[in-house]
Amino acid sequence: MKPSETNSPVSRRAGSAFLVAIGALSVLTIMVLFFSNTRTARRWSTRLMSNESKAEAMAEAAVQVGLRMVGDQINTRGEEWYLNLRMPGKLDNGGASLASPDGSDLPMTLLADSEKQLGIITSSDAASDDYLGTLRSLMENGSWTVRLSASIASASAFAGIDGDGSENVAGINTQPVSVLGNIGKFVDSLGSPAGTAVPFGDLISAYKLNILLPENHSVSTTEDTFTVTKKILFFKIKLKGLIRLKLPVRVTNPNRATDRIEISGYVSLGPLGKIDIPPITIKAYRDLLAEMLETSAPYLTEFSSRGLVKDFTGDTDAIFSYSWGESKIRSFLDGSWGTVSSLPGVSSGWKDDTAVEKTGALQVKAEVFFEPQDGRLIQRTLVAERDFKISDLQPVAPEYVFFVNNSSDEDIKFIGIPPAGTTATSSIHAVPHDSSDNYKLKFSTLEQAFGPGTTEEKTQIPGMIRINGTSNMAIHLFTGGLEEAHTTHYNALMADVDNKLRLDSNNKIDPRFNWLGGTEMLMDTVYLPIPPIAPNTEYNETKEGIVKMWDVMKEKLTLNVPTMLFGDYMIEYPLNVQVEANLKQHYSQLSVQAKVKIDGDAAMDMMDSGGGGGPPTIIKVELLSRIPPDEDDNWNVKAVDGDDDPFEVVLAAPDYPGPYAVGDEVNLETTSSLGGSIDADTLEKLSKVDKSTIKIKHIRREEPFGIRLQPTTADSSSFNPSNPGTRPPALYSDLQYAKKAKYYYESAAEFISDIPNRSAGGSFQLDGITFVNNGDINLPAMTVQGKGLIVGRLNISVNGNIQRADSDTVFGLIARNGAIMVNPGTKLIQAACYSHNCLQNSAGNALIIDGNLVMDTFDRNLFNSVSVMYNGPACRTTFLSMVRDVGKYDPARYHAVLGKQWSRYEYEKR
Amino acid sequence: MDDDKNKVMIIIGLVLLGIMFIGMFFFRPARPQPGSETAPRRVALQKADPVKTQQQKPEQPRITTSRLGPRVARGSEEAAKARETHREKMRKEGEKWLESLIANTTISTHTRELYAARNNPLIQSGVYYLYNGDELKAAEEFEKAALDPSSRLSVRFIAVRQLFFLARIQRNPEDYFKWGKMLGEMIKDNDLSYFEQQQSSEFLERIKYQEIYYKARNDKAMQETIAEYLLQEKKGYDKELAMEEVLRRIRDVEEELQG
Repeated sequence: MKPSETNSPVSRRAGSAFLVAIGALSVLTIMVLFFSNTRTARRWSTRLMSNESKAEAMAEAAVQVGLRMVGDQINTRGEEWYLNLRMPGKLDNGGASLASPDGSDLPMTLLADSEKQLGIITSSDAASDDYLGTLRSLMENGSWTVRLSASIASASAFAGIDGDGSENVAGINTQPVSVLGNIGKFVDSLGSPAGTAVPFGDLISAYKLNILLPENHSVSTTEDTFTVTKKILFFKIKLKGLIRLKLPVRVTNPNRATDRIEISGYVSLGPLGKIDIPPITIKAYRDLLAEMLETSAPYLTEFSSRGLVKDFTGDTDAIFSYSWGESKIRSFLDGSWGTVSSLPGVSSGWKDDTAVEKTGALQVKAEVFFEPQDGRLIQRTLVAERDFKISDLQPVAPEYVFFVNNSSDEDIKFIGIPPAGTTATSSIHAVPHDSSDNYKLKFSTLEQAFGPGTTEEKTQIPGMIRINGTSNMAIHLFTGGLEEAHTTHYNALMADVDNKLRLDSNNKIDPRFNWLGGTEMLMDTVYLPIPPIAPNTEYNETKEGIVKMWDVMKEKLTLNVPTMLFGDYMIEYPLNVQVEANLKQHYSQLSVQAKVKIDGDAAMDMMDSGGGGGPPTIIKVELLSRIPPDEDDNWNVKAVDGDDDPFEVVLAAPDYPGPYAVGDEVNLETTSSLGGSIDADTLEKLSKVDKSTIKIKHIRREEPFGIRLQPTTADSSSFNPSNPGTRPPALYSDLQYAKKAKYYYESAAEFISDIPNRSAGGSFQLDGITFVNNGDINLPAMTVQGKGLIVGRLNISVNGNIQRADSDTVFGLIARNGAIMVNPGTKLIQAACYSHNCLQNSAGNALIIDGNLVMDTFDRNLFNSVSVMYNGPACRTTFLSMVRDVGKYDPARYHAVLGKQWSRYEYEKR
Repeated sequence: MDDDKNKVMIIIGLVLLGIMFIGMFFFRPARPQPGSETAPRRVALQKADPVKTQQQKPEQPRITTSRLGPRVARGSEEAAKARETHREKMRKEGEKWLESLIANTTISTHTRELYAARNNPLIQSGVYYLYNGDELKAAEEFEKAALDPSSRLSVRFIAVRQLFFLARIQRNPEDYFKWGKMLGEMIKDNDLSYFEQQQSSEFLERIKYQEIYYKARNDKAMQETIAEYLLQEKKGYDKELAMEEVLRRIRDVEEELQG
C-alpha cells in the first residue's frame, strides 16, 4: 500500500520549510557563533598580541643595543669584545695551509668560550643613560627582564687559493726561519737563549789605520841600500845610496805602529858629495784614504772608525758605551707578553694551527621576560647574527729594513748587472735616521734599545736584511770616490777587534810592505778595480818609485754601481749584525815589495841642474879604510864635521905626491840637501832618480758579507725560497687582502675619487685595510694617518711625497702583484713598502723610503738612488707583534670590522 | 518516512555545524608571525653614536674566487706593460740626469767622467760579461768602446785600460803591447789627471821598453844590439855587464807578462 500523504502529521511542504528553517537557523547559529567567537578571540588576542609585540620590540631593541655595545668595543684596546673577537682559533686543517682549492675560508675552532653576557636589566632597575639604560625606558605596563649576551657563532680563517702563495703565511701558519746571529734572537722567540751583547764600541772600533814597517810593526826604522857605478871625467864613482824609513811618532799603544811614516835617506856621490832625500811623510789616512773617503778635514788626522762615526753623525762619545744587545728589549717584551699570554686561548711557543685573523658571525642574543600587570608571563628570545672580520694590519716583514723574497730563486746581481740604462748608488740603512734633522744618521736614536733610555713601544731598533736565493751572490767592498765618499766599505775591514787585526796575518788592513827578497806581507783592503776578477786568483805587477808604492790603493775607477747594504761608510749594522743572504763580499789583498834603485845619471843631472837644492859646498872627509881591490882607490870615508854615516868614495889619483893613507883628510865637493817642502816639481825630479822596483801582488778575495767581528752564521739552506719559512712575515695573498679589506674598491679610479671623502684634517684616514682590485693606483702626494694598509692588486704609481701625519701612524703600502713605480719629484715615501716586482726609481731621483722595503724580485737596474731608512715603530703594529712565535697573538695588530646587515634574525621557538 | 526525513535534516544540520566549526577554525583571528627579517626599529641611545663600522664602498664584498678569478692573470699583462713603460720613462729620466750631472762643473771631473763611463752602454756590456765570466765577449765590447771615435775620452780610457788588463789576465803579449801602447799614447797625449793619470810618456816608454825586451827574448842578435847600445849610451857598463843587464831585463819582462 502506498503511504497516504494525508495521514502524515507534517505535510511535505511543511517539512521542507522546517528543513529550510533549520538550515537558516544553523547558518545563523554558525554566523552568530562565528562572529561572537571572532570578537572574543580578537579581544583576547589583541590584548595578548599587544604584550607579545612589546616583548618582541624589546628584544629587537636589545639586539641593536647589544650590537652597539660590541661594536663600540671591537677596536678599543682592553675592552671585552676587543679581546674576545681576537681570540685565537685552531684551524681545522691543523694549519697545513691557509689556502683552499676554491678559496673558501678555512673553518677554525675557537680556543675558549666566546659567549659573554652583555648585561641584564629589569624594570625595577633605575633609569640610566648607559646602553642598557635605553631599554629601561621601554619597560612599561608590567614586569620586565631583559638578558643580553653575545658570542662568536662561527669563525674561519681568510683563505687564499691553492698555488697563489697564501698556503704558507710566515708568522701565521708557518714558522719563519731563525734569525741569524746571536743578537736579536728575541725576534724568533722570547724563550730563545739570549745572545751575547756586543758593545757598540767594539762594532765601531777605536782602530786607527797605520802603516806597518816591513820587519815588524814594533821597529822604528828600516832601510835599504843600493849602489850605482858612475864615471865622471877621470873619476869612477860608485854611488852608494840608502833609504831609511822611520816612524817619527808613536801612539800610546806600544804595540801599535803610527799613522805616519817618514822616508828619508841619501844618495852618496862620493867626493862630489851626496843628495839627501828629504824626509817625506806619508800618512796612511791622509795620503791613502783621505781622498777616497773625501774627509780631508782636520777632524780626522788619523783615520779611525770612531772619528768617522762621530763626525758623520754628530753624536757624542756616549754612543760607544751602548751595548748592542737584547736584554732591555726582552725585558720590555716580556712585560708585553705578560698581558697577552693570559688572554683566553693564548699560549706560548710556535703553533702552526692557531690563528687570530678570522671572519665569522657575531651572535647577539636577547632574552625578554615580560609579565603584564593583568596577564601571564611572556618570554621572547631573539637571536641575531652579523658578519665580522678580524684583519691583520701588520705591514710586511716589519723586523726587516730590506727583504728580497726571490720566490723564483733567481740569480740576483749587485755587480755585473745587464746593461739597461743609467744606474746610481742605492743604500739600505738599518739604523734609524732622524727625520727631523734632514734624515741624518744618529746612533743616539738607539738609546732606548741599547743605551741608558727606557725601552717602550716606539723604541727604535735596527732593522734586519734578508735576500733569499740559493745562488752565490757577490758584492764589492767599494772603494768610494770623490763626491761619493760615503760609498766606501773600508769599515767592513776595520770593524774588528784590534788584537785580531794585529795578530792574524791574514786580516791585517794596515798598509805595509817588505823589501824585495823578504817574506811577502799581505794586507787586506777594499775592492780595487784591477785584475784579477775571479776570487782567489793572483795578479802581479811591477811599478817604479818608492814614493808611489801605495798608489795602487788609490784605485777607484769602480765600474760597478755601489749598493750599500750596511749604510753609508758601512757603519750601519742590522739588528743581528749580519746580512741574511748567501752573499759574498769581494775585496783585495795586496803584497807590496820594494827594492831601492837610483838612476845615477838622473841623480847627477839633478845635482847639476841645482836640483840638489843649491850650489856645491866643500866638505872635509877623513879616509877610514881602503876597500879592496886597492887599485880602484875605493875608500870608506866619514865627514869630519858631520855625523852622517860613513860612505864610500873612489878617489882619483891625487894631483900631489904620495898616496892616500888612512886618517888623511880630503876635501870633497858636495851638495846641500833638497830640503823644504816636497812640491810636484821635486817629486817629478825624484821620480827620475827613484827607479826603485815595486812588486805588487794582487789577490782577489771573497768572504761572507759583513764585518769580521761578527762572522756570519749563514747556512745557505736558510735562504732557499722553497722553504716557506723564508718568506716575508705577514705577507698575504691578494685574495686574502681583498677578503679582509674594510674598504674594497673595484677600480683604482673609485679609490682615488674616494680619497677626499676619507680624509680629515688634511690627512687620509687609513682605518684598516683598503684594497683596490683593478687597475694601477696613481697615488697622489698625500699625508696618511692611523693604522692600515693600502693594497693594490697590481701596480702602485707614486706621484708625490707620501707622509705619515704623526708618529702613531703605521702605514703599509702594498703593490701585491705589481711594482711600486716612483715618478720623478717624489722624494719621500714614509711607509712600510711591499713591491712584488722590484721598486722602480730612476737614477738621480734621490728617494728616501722611511720605513722598510720588501720585494719579491730585485733588479739593480731599476733600483736607483734609493735610500731605505728603517723606522721600526712605523712598520710594526706593536713591538710584541714582531716576535715570531707569539706575535700573532697580540690583539693590537688586528682591526675589527662588523658587517652592515644581519645575516640571521629570528626568534627562538618557545 | 518522516523519520527518515528528520534523520536527513539532522545530518544536514550536523554537517552545517561541522562546516561552521571548520569555518571558525579557518577564520580565527590572525596573530603575528615570528622570524621576520624586517629591520629592527632603531632604539634611541643616550650614548653618543659610535664609530661607524660599515664603511665598505661599495657594498661590503663577499669575495669569492669566481668574482676575482683568474686574479693574477687578469690585468697582469697591462700591469707588466705599465712597468715597462715606466722603465722606459726612468731610462730617459736617468739619461737626462746623467747629462746634467756631466754638465755640472761644481761636481768633480772625476765623478762626472766616472759616471759617464760607468753608464756607457758598451762599458756596461763589457762589465756585465766581465763579471759573468765571459772575458772574450767583454773584450769585444770594450774594444768597440775603445775604437768608437764618438766615445768620450774617459770612456775610451777605461775601455783601453780594461783591454790592457784582460790581455794581462789572458797572458796575451800581442794584445798586451797593442793596448798598452794605446793606453800609453792616451796618457801621454791627454790630460787624464781626473783619473789620477799624470800626463806623461812614462807608461808608453815602459811598454815600448817591455816590448823590445820581450821581442829580444829569443833573438840573440837583438840582445847583442841592445847590449851594444848600453855600452855606447849608458855609462858604467862593459860588454859582459851589458849583456847580463839585457838578460836580466828580459827575465823581468817575461816575469811581468806571465802575471
